[in-house]
Amino acid sequence: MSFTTSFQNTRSGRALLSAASRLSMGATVLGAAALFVAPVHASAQVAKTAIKAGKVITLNGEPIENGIIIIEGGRVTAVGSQEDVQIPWDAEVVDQPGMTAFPGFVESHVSRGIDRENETLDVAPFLNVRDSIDPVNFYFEDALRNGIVVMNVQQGNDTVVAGQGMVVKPYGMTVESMMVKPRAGIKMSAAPKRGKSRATQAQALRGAFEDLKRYLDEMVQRKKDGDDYDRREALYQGRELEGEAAKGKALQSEAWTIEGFERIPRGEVDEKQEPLLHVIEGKMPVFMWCGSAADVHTALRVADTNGFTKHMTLVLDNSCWKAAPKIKAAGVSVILEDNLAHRERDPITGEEIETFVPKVFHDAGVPFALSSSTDSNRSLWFQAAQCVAAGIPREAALAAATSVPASILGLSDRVGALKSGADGHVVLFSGDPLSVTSVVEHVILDGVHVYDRSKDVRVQQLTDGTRPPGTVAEEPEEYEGDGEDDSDNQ
Amino acid sequence: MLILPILVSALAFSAPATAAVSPAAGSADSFALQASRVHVGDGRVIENGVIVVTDGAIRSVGASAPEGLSVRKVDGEIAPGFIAMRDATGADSENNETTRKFTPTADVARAFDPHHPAWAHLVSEGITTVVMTPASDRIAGGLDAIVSPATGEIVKRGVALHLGMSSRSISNFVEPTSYAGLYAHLDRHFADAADGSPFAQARSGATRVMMEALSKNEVARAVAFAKQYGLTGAIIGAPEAGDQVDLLKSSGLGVVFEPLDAGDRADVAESAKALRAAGVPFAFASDAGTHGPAAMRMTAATCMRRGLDAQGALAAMTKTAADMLGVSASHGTLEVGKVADFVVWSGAPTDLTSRATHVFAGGKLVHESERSSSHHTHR
Amino acid sequence: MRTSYQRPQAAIAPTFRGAASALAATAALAMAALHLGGNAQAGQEAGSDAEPVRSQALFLTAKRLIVSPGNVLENASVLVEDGKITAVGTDLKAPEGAQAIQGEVICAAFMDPWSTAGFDTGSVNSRDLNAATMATDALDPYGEKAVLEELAASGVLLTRSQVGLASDISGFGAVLRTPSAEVVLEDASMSAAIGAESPGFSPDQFGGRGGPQGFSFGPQSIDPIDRIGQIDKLVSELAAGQKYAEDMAEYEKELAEWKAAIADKEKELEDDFKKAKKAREKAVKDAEEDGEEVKEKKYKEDRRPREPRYDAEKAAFARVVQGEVPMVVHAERALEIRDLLRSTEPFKRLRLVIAGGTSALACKKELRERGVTVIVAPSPANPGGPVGELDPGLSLAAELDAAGVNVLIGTGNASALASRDLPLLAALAVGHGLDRDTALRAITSGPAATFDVADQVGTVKRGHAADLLVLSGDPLSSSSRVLAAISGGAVVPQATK
Repeated sequence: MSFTTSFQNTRSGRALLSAASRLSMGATVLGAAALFVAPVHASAQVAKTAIKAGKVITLNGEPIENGIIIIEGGRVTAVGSQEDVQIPWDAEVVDQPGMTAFPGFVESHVSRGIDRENETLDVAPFLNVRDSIDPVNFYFEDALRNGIVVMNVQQGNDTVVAGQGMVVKPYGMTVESMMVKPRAGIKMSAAPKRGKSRATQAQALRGAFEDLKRYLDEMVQRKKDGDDYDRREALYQGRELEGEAAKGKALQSEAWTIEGFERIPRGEVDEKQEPLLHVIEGKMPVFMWCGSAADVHTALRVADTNGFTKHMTLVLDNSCWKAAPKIKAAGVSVILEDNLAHRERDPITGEEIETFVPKVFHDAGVPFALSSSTDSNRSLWFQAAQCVAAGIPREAALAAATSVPASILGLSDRVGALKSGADGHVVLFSGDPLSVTSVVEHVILDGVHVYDRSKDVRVQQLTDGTRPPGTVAEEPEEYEGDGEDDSDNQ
Repeated sequence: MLILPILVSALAFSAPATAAVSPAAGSADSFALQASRVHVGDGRVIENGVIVVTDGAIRSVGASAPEGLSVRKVDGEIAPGFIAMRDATGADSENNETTRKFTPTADVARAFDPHHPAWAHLVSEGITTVVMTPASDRIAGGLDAIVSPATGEIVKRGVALHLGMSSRSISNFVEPTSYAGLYAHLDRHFADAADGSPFAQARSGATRVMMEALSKNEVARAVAFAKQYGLTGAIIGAPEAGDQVDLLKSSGLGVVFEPLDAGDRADVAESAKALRAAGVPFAFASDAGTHGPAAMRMTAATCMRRGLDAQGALAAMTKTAADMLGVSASHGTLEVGKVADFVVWSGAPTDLTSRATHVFAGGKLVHESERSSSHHTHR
Repeated sequence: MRTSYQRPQAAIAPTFRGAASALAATAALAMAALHLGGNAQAGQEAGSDAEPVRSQALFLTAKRLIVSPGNVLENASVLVEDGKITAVGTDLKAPEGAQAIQGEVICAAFMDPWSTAGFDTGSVNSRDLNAATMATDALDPYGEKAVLEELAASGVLLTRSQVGLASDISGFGAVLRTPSAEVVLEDASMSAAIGAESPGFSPDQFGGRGGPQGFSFGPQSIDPIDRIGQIDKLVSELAAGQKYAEDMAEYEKELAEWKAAIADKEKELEDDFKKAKKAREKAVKDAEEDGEEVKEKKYKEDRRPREPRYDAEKAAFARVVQGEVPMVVHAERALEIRDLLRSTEPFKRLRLVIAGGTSALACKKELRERGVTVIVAPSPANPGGPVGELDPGLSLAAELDAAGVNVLIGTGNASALASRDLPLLAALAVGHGLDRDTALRAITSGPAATFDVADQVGTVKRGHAADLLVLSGDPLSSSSRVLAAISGGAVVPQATK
């Protein structure tokens, strides 16, 4: 079988390609995983792929036996049974009757693939992971092996207010080419940063917003003063002063009021303060780390005071299950850490209590997403499988690794399900995605074949000892000794 | 129950010279005191009771005094002097013995320093008898001794073999370093006990044992050990003894509660109530060296505020303690022939609002408090 | 202004030990003494997360009702409705549906003015706090319920809690209702400490818990020079706060003047506008004829006064210096207390409270004259303790009181549980010379008055919040038991074994 490598998809490139798709030209470019920027000339070829699999799990209805997915120009255009769907004559056909097609897992929050997790600065919302993502970081390659198609890369937990994150796919030579959604949210922490106590952390977190308020108030005041001065000057000089239209916009916040903010052109707001302003106005989502159940209260309090509860997702340590009722009442979604069982010793009886955290949130009706931020062997399929083992229905478990994260990231129509209009991401498993014996055989991102297990050099090294071409195994040297008696008995 | 205001008692009793309360003129060593209540210690309370002391011992306790003896009236209540089941005041040096866990023949009485100034504070809180023990981190640290800090007397040596069977006795630096090792050593000593050794004497019942054990697990092991070798005595620690009442009852052992730290949960209070209800004897340690002289009274009061009756608390600090130590022939209650160790309290003896206005040990006045002074006078 | 922060009521979920035990009998006896009439105690199931039943009215009756220490009503009752005391008297009748509770004595709940209850241990032991830190940020709604239960069982239903016990300056402490960790007053005090070690450094061979008071003044204490340095730092912060307050007041004044002047000017300009316009038109015409550019008149006005730069810590100290918030300073040694008194003398409106005060007798005259309140934490340990022969031990409270100093009794321990000993410590103080009523005041109305919540708690008065105890005897007597603890109008469920 052959695969088509399409031209690499930047957003503009795809627009161009789909426009050019009306010219149906056969796409038969074979090649390595070389990437091309979308061509500007009008004779762009539109890649079309038809993936036939023994089973297609769409997560948008019942699984389809002998199903087929059509991807054109990097987008899914049709999903259905092989009997019902017409294959475009110029599509590359992939036929894997023994495999299961799956939309791919969505990693809702991860701090890997970046240079360092956190800065020493307490409040640094102007930073962006765009500047620290390393496309060749091992994490991204490994994500493909685990069937993860998009990930929300955010800064780590050791912070007060960290920088902005972005959603990327684990394939590309540049950050721009990996980008799926640039402004994916700001990371904050309600749990104490190293060196702080809960009291000083909450103080710093609240203080960041209070500083912003003061800054904006001062700005508005200065502007008002300036306008008033201008008016008086004109009066003095006998000039008519033309009314000036407000250059900016009024503040769009539920919790804050700043009279006269519309006088300030938005461009004048200091870029260091701007990200938090977007948070206040609900334009920038927030990912708030909570290290303990008490931190959840801090997080909700700060969010409520500053009006961004609706745009906040809590990233939880597993001890936070105790705050489930509070979280439910606030109506926020949560992202769970990858250690799903919380263990605690009762201080009075001494007995060890184990709580399976996702079950608590499932029973409470709180939308929860799984995450696999530490080791590869705790990847999302494993997290979901553990949920099923603990009694959570399969749909809910799968959703926690696909549609719930997609919804949290605002990408519900693009990832997490195989349906018309979604991004062309398909993962082909050797069996059921949640089964421990299944492996990821192929990954297609935006219609591009980016991973083939049979050609995975590292896996081959592990499974059958094949060495990468050009390498030679070193034989350990015999140790001769230097003739001295090294034994302990002197 | 009447609550006696301190003001009244202080005013009623005009400040005396020491001589007025001790031996009355004419008699060699006899005097009599009458108080609004005399607590015998075994539950009997004599209203307007009179206690007569001769030659350091109690001659009589009753409603009246013998002919010819003038009776001095004191405002307040008389009770036996308290017995603290463990205290290391003045014996800080004993904590230096960190390299050897087994010194079973060590006689702790030798570390008794009757002149140590801290004893005075203990006495001023009504404690007239103290059990000195080796440090808690030893396994067989030696033989406990009963001392009278006020008179400087060693009341009895070798009263019990002190065994440390709690986590305190296990460290990473000196063997044994595990429970298994601890019990292996103890088994060896007890099983192969040489005649006349403290271990043999404990097995034969000639000497009691005082076993330190804290967690329920440690207590259960200690009880099993005691049963195995037929040991009698008490367990020191056991704050959760209330959950092991049946086990303790079947063992015949008593319990000595340690004083509460500010940060400890008051499990002891619940346990004291449970033991009282089940008839398991219990007493209190004072550990004034680390917890202060009033800690024992405070622990007893904490138990009372949670429901332990006053008589139970009083017995624990007097009669039961003496029984546990095997000195009830001479200590623990105010009865004829017993040593004249008693305290005049300004109110109920177990109430923290009471102060020890006069403390007698061996019939001598060893402490007297004046209301307005900033330092307590002592002997 | 002071904010009285009413948070939503946290759930009281007591942990109940195994039901079947010999103690069930004792518990039953205790319950019988409660004479529960009317409705049964509903809604307080084991492990329940339900809101405490506040809606049910309570009718408390006792042989002795201590309205405030020294003011006793015989055979009196208290009616509690919706969290408040709605009636107090000797001839009240229980309304329909009210839960009746009887006992020997009713009194105000005990308040520990020096506590750490309610906050997480990390913040309590932290040393990196600052003047603007709010202890309420460290509230731990998931803290050990057993701790709060024990405090309630001993009758300590209110505390002035702080964090950073060993921190030089630890920010704002709060008055809390212990059973629910509800905040009664968020900014009840500013706290500081001179010469305190962090907990755990004490050479305590029996477990290293840091000694009875949670920290040590032993051989590892901070150097005397450093301690004086701490006082200097504190005083300079107070001075900075005062300057900040003065600068702010000055700014407000100047701003008001400037605004008035500008308003006048503006009116003037508006009045003269027509004239100015005409003059300008003429000038423009003239300039056009001359082929020159119009030269506009130069306009000058006074600049708006600049607001002093906001500084949270200075603002906090400004409130303290102006007497809005009392400042609690933990100081033990005579030298430091004297130095503290002397250096804070210029701040006439400062409300100073000294906590600990072991050697305070050395300055008793100054303390009385300055109206300084002393929180004594009578530790039963080491009367010949940290400061040697100068330490009067357990009679400190009595001696200070005799000298006319306002005395409160507190626990001041890094462990929240320590507050449970408050009534016992008060009793010990009585045993060592303190007047009984004074001792009771020192743990009820006294702390309430010092920390500005006397209009809500501390005495049994109509209109106050219902924080009350029903006891089987005198509040300080060791044989008395707390039969019922009422916090914010709700009966606190008692843990039974």
